[in-house]
Amino acid sequence: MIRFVLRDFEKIICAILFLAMTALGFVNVVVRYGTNYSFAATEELLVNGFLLLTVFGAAIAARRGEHLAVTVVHDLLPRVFWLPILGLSVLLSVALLSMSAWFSWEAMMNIKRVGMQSYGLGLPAWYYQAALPFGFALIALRYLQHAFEVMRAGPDAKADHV
Amino acid sequence: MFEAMGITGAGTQMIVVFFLLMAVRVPVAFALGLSALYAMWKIGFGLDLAGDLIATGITKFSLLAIPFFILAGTLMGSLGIAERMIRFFRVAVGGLPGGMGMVGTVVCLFWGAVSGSGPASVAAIGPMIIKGMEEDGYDRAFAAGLVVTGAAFSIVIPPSIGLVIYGVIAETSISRLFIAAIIPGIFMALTMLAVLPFARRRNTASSLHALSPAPYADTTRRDALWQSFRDSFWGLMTPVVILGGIYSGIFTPTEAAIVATVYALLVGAFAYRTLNIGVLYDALGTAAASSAVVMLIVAYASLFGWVVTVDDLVGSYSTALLGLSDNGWVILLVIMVILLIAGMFMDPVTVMFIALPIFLPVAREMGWDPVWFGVLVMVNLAIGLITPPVGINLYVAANITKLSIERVAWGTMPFLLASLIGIIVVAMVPQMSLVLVDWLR
Repeated sequence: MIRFVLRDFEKIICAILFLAMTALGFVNVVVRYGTNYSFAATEELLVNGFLLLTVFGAAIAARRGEHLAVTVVHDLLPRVFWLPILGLSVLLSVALLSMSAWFSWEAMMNIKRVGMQSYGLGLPAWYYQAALPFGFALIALRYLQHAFEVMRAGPDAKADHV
Repeated sequence: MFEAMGITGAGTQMIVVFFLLMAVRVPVAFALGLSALYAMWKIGFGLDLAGDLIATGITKFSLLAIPFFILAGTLMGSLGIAERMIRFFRVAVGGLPGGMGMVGTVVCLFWGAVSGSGPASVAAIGPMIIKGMEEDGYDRAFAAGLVVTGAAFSIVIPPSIGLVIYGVIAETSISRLFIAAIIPGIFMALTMLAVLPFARRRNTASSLHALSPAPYADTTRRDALWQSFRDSFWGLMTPVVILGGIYSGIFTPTEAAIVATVYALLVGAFAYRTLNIGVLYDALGTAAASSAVVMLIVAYASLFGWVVTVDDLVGSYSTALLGLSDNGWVILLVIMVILLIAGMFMDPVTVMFIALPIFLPVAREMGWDPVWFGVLVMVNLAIGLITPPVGINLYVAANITKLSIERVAWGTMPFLLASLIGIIVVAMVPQMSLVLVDWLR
């Protein structure tokens, strides 16, 4: 069970979020259509749910190697360059994800410091951003896991995208 | 380093860095982010905004249509809705000249009105159509070519994820874009039919009976048609639910996407009884990942876009473009060629974020209708999905057919030629895009 949760962590989060968003969105449509009344609160929840869905969904995609990359140039290079270039690309990608984690942490602390409130529910706005730094770190982790598999499989194994 | 080469502007350097990173296989989304952060560091400000820019790039209500259209499409595929639809069209049009080639074209067209993403369409309907076409004597690579091309136009035929993003970038009504894309989308898909008579087919006893799939094999044509229609009815209604809702003004595109998702769940749960926890869990995970691949590009592209604005890249490049000629057609031709070439190497979303800030002011200056221009951009980028070396649809098709990318690309060539002729017609006849918009206004 624990192993399943650790392996499927982001998938579980995405599944719950996605289902909840579908339900909330649908209720909103029905209410709006039936009563001409729409609440800004659901829009706020949906849009911020979407933000989390993107970050955790990106972790699923990173683990599966689905982030689009151009491999043509890499494939044309002599084999000796295969590993160094792959290593460089992984290093750069992980650097960006770490910076993104850091920047979103800073952004969250900033919002918290100013005491900004959300527009619909009047909640402290930093609540919504609190999971972002963690999410970016998770993408980096999953990306590394996938990269190690590709490197271990070697240049002849069929791997379209890292 | 760049200064020595005479590239002084931070924005221009950013573009060079972006292409260098792509060349060393850094995923497109990350290449956008890294090159933008480089430019921000070079300019000396903006880095403290990065966290905010990433978040605000995603949190837009109109973009919410993207995950839901992807989820609806994924569910339709995994709940057996695609399968039933293919069976119906097999019975309905399989007896016409072209046989399964005709069926494949019509299914792609119809699926385009359910799904908003090209590669996802290849994965959902590709295996079944390719298998059917092979049984009907077509070469496998040719069949793959038909599917990748037909699936590419599902980003033109509404609902379309590409048009949602175009609408957000160009600040144009997504509903109007959807309406405008109907006729050009159908037209482009139908150009594929022009290729079919030239296909080499093995001699097969391709009678309607042989083509009638298992459950209807022993019935008369009328019965088979009725039964397969009844079986696929709820699937066939999907475009009516999605598009009807948008066109009648009941739903916004985002709401239509949510309704389509709920509709797919209801059909799976009550009409076909194919929905269970396992299928649902996998579909949610897959759709979340596919949506995130697009949205991560959007998120990092918003950093890129910030630099483009701050560094006034737009002004200098669009002035250069306008200075090329006084003739609008020449400028349009240049734009289309640039889009086609960019589409050979990059996915539609990335191309739009990089190129549209430059092209849109040009379009405004030339007095082009932004809705018509959006449809044209989308047809260009759809063709980019099937052009080597980097056509995402080709990769997906190679994966499901176990053919090499080269073979799939060869099989796609005749369809590519037909599409290039088709896009000229779409460009020359703006009424094709605008007649429905004007009529429904």
